[in-house]
Amino acid sequence: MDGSQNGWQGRTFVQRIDPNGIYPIPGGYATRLWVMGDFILDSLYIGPVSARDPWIAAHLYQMTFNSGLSKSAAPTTADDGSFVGVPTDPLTLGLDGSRGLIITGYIDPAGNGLVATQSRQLGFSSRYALSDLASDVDKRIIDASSPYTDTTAQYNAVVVQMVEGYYSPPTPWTTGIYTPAGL
Amino acid sequence: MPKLYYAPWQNPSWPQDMDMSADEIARGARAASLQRAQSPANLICKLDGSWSQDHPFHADSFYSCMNYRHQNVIGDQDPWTFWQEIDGPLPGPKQPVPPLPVGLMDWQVRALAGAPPVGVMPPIPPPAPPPGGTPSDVVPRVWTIMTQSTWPPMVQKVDANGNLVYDNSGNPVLVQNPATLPYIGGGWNGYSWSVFYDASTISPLIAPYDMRITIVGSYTLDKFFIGAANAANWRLINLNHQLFFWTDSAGNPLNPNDSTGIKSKSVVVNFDDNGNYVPVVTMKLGLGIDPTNGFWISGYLDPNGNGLAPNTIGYLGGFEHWIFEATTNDPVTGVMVLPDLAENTDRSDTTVWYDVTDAGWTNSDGYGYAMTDLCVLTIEGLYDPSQVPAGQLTTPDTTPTSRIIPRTTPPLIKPKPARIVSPRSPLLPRAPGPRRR
Repeated sequence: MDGSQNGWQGRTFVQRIDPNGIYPIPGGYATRLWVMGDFILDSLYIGPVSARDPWIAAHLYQMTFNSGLSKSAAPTTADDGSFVGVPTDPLTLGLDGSRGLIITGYIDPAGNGLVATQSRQLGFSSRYALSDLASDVDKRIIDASSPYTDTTAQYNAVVVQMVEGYYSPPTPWTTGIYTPAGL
Repeated sequence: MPKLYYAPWQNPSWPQDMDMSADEIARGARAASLQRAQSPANLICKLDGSWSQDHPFHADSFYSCMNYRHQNVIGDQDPWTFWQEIDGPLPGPKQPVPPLPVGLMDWQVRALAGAPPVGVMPPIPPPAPPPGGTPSDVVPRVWTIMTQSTWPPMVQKVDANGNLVYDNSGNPVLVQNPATLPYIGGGWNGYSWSVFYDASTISPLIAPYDMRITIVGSYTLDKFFIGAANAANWRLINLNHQLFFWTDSAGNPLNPNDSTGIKSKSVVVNFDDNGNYVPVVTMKLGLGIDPTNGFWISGYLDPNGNGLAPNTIGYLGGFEHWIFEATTNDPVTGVMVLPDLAENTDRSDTTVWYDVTDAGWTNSDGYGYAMTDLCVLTIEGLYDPSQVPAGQLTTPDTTPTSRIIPRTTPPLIKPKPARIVSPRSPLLPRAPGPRRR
């Protein structure tokens, strides 16, 4: 990602990716995200865009970190100042990208609040709200009272560096991402 | 049609059910049963547009539903009954999700903000059919040499008598100029080196879909990178992308289709028993690099390898490729040391990077000359055939991608087709047959 912005403490970020920014469209067998910045992430969700509106998620699945032990994470920077990408745990669902994907999360009021950004990125658009609305599927801006502010003109992508899918077909014994105990 | 585990009208099955309790599985089975009873197609939530295919157990709260009813269905003072408009603006049915791509394995990037991190290779979309065409109209992509050690890549044909050949219209007949590295130098053990390829020597001058590089010599290459030159300063590399090789455990290159190989950052390059070069091709890079400002190739040769690096010589005024090598002096002893700087992206740092080509030599006739190419025979790009200039040679794509790593998986047991038995109709009289005794 080519930039950063501070002051994101206490904000909900929204990252929408259009189908033309996604390949492959089918989601495979699992989904994983990578986030970047220097902040405390309280919650993170991903879901397919609904048929109702491009800024309404059909459903938001909460991502976890640290093998499911935590819903929050604290991405930070390396000693040389570069951002270190932090992966989520695999969500054991492949998310259909044919209408796009919405990724949203809430950044803790504490912490450094520095998020990584990326400009001139085809298919990516971003918004924020000044409260914890991460789990709300409706990210529309209908009128002046809507809580969201569009930031696509400043930077297309915020926080989210990558969306990955897992494509190895399941076998009777292991998916490669989750191995039952004793096997 | 195989059962899809995410089909909402199917009972939960593996892997959907692997983290579910027995109660949750039973609840899912009841929900699926209800959905089967209602409709085999997808359902859509009128409140927020959720598809049942995306979220089989979607539900809104009672108050959300009542609020929607208040706002959209009937007025507070209206009678309870209401017929919805049949031509209301309902979204159309959701199209079926296309099948999974063939050949992709493990984790793959689906969406990416910015340049890919080192080692991350986004999948390349397959060729699309032309507008209005069908999938059978897809034209396979081809490899073509974007730049090579011997310049120019096309030269005028010469007949057996040494005369230049022209066609009937008087135009020169061009043929491929084979890529060669006619000279060889020893002592490159432990050196970091780079070659810059000026954009004037690259064709087509557009980013390919994928790339691969062919190298020759006799050395152990520990690291190998390619990157685009910076638009403002050609001595800067925007980002180094590491190239990989398909090798055995000792680092010897293998046929790309050899399933015993491993994806390796280093490779042993050598001669055959007759002293001829054995070209080694990298695995596909997995992405195409914009060549409009030129390429930088960088490598680090193992100190314990043979260190024999082939090269070409160019004459002053005709340099299009430039070789750099990294050396520095120990600050305490003053002794020259060879740093591993292949990943470094700044060739303008003259304290470590030495421009071998710019230094050059002068021959006995007073002509300046210098080494202009090192180790790299060709840089190839994968293109749609329509992108390749007419007359430039192409080869079909036959190698597996660098991302598709053969895995040992137990073969799936193909179920035998069910035996079809025609039931005897009880209404038909039994045909007479020979009586058994």
